[in-house]
Amino acid sequence: MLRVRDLSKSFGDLRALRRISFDIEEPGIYLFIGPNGSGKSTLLKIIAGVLAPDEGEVSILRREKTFIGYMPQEDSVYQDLTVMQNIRFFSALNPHDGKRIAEELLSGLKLDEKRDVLASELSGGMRRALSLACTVAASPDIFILDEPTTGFDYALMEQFWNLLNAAKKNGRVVLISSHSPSTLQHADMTFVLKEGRIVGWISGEEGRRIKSIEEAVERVAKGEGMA
Amino acid sequence: MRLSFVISKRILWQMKSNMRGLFVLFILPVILTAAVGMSTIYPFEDVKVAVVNLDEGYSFEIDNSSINISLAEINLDKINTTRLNLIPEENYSAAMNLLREGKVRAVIFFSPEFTKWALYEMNLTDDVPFSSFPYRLSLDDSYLPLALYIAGEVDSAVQKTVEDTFSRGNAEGLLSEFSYAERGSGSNYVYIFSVIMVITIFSVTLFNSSLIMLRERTQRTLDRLISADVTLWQFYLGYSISFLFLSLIQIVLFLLSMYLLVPDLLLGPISVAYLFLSMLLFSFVIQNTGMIISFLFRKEMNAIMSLPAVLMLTLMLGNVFTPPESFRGLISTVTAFNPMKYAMHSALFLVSGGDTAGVSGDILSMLLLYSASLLCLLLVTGYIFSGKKAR
Repeated sequence: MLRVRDLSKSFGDLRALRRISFDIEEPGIYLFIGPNGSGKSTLLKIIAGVLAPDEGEVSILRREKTFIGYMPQEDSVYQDLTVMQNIRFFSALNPHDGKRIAEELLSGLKLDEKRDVLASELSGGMRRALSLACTVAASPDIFILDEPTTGFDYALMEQFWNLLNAAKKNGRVVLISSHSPSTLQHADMTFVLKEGRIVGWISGEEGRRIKSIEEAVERVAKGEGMA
Repeated sequence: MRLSFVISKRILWQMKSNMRGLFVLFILPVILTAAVGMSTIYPFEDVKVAVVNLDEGYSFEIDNSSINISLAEINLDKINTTRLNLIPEENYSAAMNLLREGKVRAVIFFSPEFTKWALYEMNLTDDVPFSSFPYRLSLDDSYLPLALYIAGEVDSAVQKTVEDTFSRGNAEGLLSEFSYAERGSGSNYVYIFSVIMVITIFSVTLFNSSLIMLRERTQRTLDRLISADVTLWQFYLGYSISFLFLSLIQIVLFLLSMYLLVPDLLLGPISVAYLFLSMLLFSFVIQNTGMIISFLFRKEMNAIMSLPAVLMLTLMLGNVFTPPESFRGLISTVTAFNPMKYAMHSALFLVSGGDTAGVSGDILSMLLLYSASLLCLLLVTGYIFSGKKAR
């Protein structure tokens, strides 16, 4: 479904990614963790197509056209549009039943009372929820979410996982970078990055026994993960 | 094409969410046109006019008695003094000095032989006047409507004089042959209107296209569009459709308010069509310029601060305030590529028939200029997009 081969990327003297390769063949939730500066965001940007690698390639192995929904680390919504206008715009980028999905998202992410409020007037957490809603609204085949849960409260977090699990059941691939321990509980596979390399991976079952991101990184470093 | 319309619809939503922006966009053209129009519709009052009356009159022998009439005196009595404030002056050069200093708006000069000349012109005497300079109306041309108004008032007085004194209806030949006082630039009025129209379209398009594009980058929504496989053409077309639509509304509003308030300025369908074509192309180029400017900055404030400088530079190098002859060499080439020049040309063509334009330009060179601008934008934007695409 998704093939990444020998991706390298440098910013000046800083080598952000060093020959990263992996394959994703099944729908599911795939998590990327690692210390700050390990290359998670750079990797996701290259897969999303917003950054060009110095070397290597990303291939999407599907017959039909694949639509990618990318949610950057920043609240990438139009601040001068309302909640509903933002969702309708991003939904319209991919022809599908956008109206139904938009309504479900508004109620699911507790945004229905704010539908006519400008994005700039939302709280940080709500704006993040809107950013997520904009990604989901386009009904992408591949979700690429960079630190999506920053600022989410418990209720929003629950809705977030409901949405992603539903996407997974519908045959979607979800790639997430996160610092939130709860992501380990839901991921089907966790890739651990360090200094621009994938240093190991953790299966879904194993990940559900791990309590924190730091613990996961440490276990891989000690060779307890599937390095 | 569908995605382009989705993007242009979104830009129009963004514009709509900004009520002050909408005010500038739709109401300002009407207010500005009304303000310029009102200055020609409302009558002027207490306009100071210096009068140098040296007319010695003409003597008739009737029943062995001599009667002297002075047509200049009769003429001055007929002038509407509630509108024109006549100030007597002893000599012509002193009066002209007042005019050059802006202390009076016109000088009416009657030579000693004025009456003799007038009677000769009307075939009422065979006495050939010696003077070839019998009568002159000199006008302050810094504000053309006022100058034309004074000329009209003076001509009306001459007409009344001829009708009342000689029972003739036709005063042609005596009506004023006015000259300008070399004080102003000659046709400021048509410039004012044209500059307002061009600057409004320029400002709205430049500010909005550059800021919306800059926000698209800094708020990372551009990244979302790129990842969603929106192509350069779809993206660019989306921007162009929305800004051409906005400019179209502005031009229609300008023309509509001109039609309602100052219909005399509209010179017919050809000039209107020329205006539409060149203004839309103008907006197209300015939108490109705005998008290119947005790529130069990362902070909105920096971009905002640069925009007035772009406006001023474009105005100064656009033959708006200066004739084409004032630029030489490289600067002359730069001005040839300045879209402001052609927009001004079409605006002046509309309100003055092009006679007073002081700007040269034709449709072919205009199209070449716009093509060059489009190419520049595509190179810049294409470079940025090609650097990002990975898949």
